[in-house]
Amino acid sequence: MNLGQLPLFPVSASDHATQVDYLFLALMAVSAGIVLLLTVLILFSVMRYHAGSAADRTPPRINTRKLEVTWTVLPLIIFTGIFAWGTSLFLDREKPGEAPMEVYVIGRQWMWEIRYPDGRHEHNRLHVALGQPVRLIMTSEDVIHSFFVPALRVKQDVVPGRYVTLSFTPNRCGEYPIYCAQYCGTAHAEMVGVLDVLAPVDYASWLSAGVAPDSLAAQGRALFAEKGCAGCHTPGAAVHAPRLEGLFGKQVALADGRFVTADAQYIHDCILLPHRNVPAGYDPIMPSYQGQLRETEVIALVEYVKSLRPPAADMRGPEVRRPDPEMKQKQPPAP
Amino acid sequence: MNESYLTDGGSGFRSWLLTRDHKRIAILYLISISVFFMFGGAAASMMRAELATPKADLVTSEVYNRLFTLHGVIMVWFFLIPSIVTVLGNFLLPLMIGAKDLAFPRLNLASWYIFVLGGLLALYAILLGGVDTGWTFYTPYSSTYSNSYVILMAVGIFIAGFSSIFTGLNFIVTTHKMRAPGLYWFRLPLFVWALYSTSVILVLATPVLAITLALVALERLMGVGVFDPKLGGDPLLFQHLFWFYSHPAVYIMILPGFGVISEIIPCFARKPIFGYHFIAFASIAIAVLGFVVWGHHMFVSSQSLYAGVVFSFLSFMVAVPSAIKVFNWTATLYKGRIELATPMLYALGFIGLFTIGGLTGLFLATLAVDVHLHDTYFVIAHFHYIMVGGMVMAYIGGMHFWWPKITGRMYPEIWGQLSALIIFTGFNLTFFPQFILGYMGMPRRYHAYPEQFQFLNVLSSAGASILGIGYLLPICYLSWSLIKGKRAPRNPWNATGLEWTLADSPPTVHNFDEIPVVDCEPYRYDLPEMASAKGDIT
Repeated sequence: MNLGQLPLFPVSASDHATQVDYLFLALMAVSAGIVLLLTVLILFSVMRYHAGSAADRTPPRINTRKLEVTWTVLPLIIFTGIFAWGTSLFLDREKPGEAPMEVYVIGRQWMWEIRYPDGRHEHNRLHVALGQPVRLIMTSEDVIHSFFVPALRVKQDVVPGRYVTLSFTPNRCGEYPIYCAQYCGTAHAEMVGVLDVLAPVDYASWLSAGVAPDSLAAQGRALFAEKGCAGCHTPGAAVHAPRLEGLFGKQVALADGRFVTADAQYIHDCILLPHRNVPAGYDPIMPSYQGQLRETEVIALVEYVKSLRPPAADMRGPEVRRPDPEMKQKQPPAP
Repeated sequence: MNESYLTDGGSGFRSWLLTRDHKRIAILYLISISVFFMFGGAAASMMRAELATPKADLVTSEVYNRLFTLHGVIMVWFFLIPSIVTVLGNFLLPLMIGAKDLAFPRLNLASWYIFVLGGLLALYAILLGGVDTGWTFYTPYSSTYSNSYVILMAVGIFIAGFSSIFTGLNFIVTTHKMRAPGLYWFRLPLFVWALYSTSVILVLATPVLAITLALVALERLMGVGVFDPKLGGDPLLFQHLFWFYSHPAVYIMILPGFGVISEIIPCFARKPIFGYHFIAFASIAIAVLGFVVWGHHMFVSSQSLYAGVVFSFLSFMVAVPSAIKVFNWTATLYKGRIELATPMLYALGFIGLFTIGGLTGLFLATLAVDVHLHDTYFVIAHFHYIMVGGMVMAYIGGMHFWWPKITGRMYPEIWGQLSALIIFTGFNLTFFPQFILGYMGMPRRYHAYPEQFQFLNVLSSAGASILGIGYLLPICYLSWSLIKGKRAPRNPWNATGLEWTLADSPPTVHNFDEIPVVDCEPYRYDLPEMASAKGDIT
């Protein structure tokens, strides 16, 4: 190995990564300063005041309390400054850029599955365009994984049963390693992938290569029919079930009095854990699809529900009624 | 002259296994945790050997995953947490406060048996085939997916936890009720303050660990949905519960180390400790604040952003009392009469390594930086600087300092100084490269890694072999000194403290001939007769 080319600092592929590097270097400077100060003080004391030396040892005339307050307050100020810097950078990162491209990432023992909204999917490889903000929506099919791209200085635990997001905007073309950073079992060290940042031209040709599959929402529509969802969740169905047109993003009143936003997490939970959030006015008769649907299929269904526009006749949408305790009795019982 | 505790009351197995003497129980702990340390160290050596090359060539991933779990579980629960508390603490607490024994001598012996039972169960789980969850037991991997002896290991840790709780209770009661006449709180040696703070954490935090492990077992055995989302549980709940114990547990490990350093530094600088009250209260502040920073282990876990902000801030706050301690120790050296005896070398090494460990803790408390560093080798390096660079240096330094008192024999000084230097060098070579590896992005718990990380890993493995030799040295020459070492005088360092001034080396069964009466502050190294660390000669 050529020591001259020894990598001691990771490449940076986003503005955020460069910002983190500045903060890291500032922390290094503060730490090096403190270590140097202590080393000098200790070495000075040991050399000058070793037993038997003739150094002057008349007690110093210093105000002990002032000294203690100084070395309490000074670190406090420095620490607060670092805290504020780190926090603002952290919160900035959470804001997605303009019109982010949303990509689904599913972690499973031991691979990353990448699902693009246009229906393409690949394993352990994520293609993105230079300068295009990306928002990853991630979940796990089994245990906790962690999506870690050192070149972007970001990672996010990928938790089963939850949709978590990770946003970034790449500013440098190239291939960068993706690691699983949360220990996930036997082949944890093999759960690695590549982030491929392409120039816009290359990205366009990557997009147009091959036969375009059905979009995620179209795949969801097929599943919706195949799994029998349509039997209840369509106008005129015999069963009293919530209508899904225009549902996405609305506030939903629940039977227990809570209000929740009908986001991807809500749709996900309604499919897999239907008794967690029962909408007000409906009986808890929805069966759980736990074990019958894979997370990728749930994602397709979420995309399908997202794509359903509210019917023109009823722009209010079916779910925005305030909860009415009397309402339940008025409904005809489900057959 | 009365006989020493080592011979009085017989020396057969029975006299040791049924003893209620805190000093003999300390020796029992010393032997048992040394055995556990060997197991944990052997696992670490195999991991470092595997990591010398990027490919998986020495062990498979299954074996490697079991090795790091073994290393973590054994080192944390069966070496670090008991080490200073149960060995030096058990031996010294009654001696330092002028008591005959701990408040509950039988409970003390029972604690040891419980500890050994827990340890044996953990070792049995390892012999059967091991556990592959990591010492953190993250769910749902541990509760649903792992195909290994999780329950048995958890039962071992669960049982050992009761040993911690009983020891903590024993120390708290002893400190409150058994101090010698005149030994007011602010006349206590700082080691006692540190033990007291540690005991409070042991009593308050350990039950939460027991609850957490019981819930994991409940889910694993009976499918009760607590942590697995497929059963309607929440995997993050486990992390909150686990770190609510395990972060304070970090302070269980390091606080007694602070106590040891606060005894050694004034003795070999021949000066009263600087800022006694500040060091004492810093221990209490760390014990209290340590309970409210657990969320900094979870910045990328998908806990709420604002929880992250609050935990980040509190984590910076807990760094302040640690900084106060370091500055006070350094100030104690100024205008002292410093002797670089072995315990002092270990103590100075402690200050250096603990400072680096503490400062890199700030990197990890900083939100945006932690998002990058979390679960990389930077974290590994950071907590080894605290646990091994800090805690183990303090433990070995303390063992040298009180060795004459415990055994009645002097260790060979030259060998002691040599071991301190070798351990310091080997430690830095092992763990400093890991900071760089971490920032480069090498994740922890990987048995195989990309080639670009090899050079730094080779340095680290080379350092580990030096460190291994460093640890073997004291084991050899301290054992040698038991038979061949010079007889120790009562107070070889001319130190203050009741254990040195009024108790024999080794002490008699009841420690003191008559109940000591204390009439002055601790650490009166400024008196004319205390000018030198050359002690009395028998």
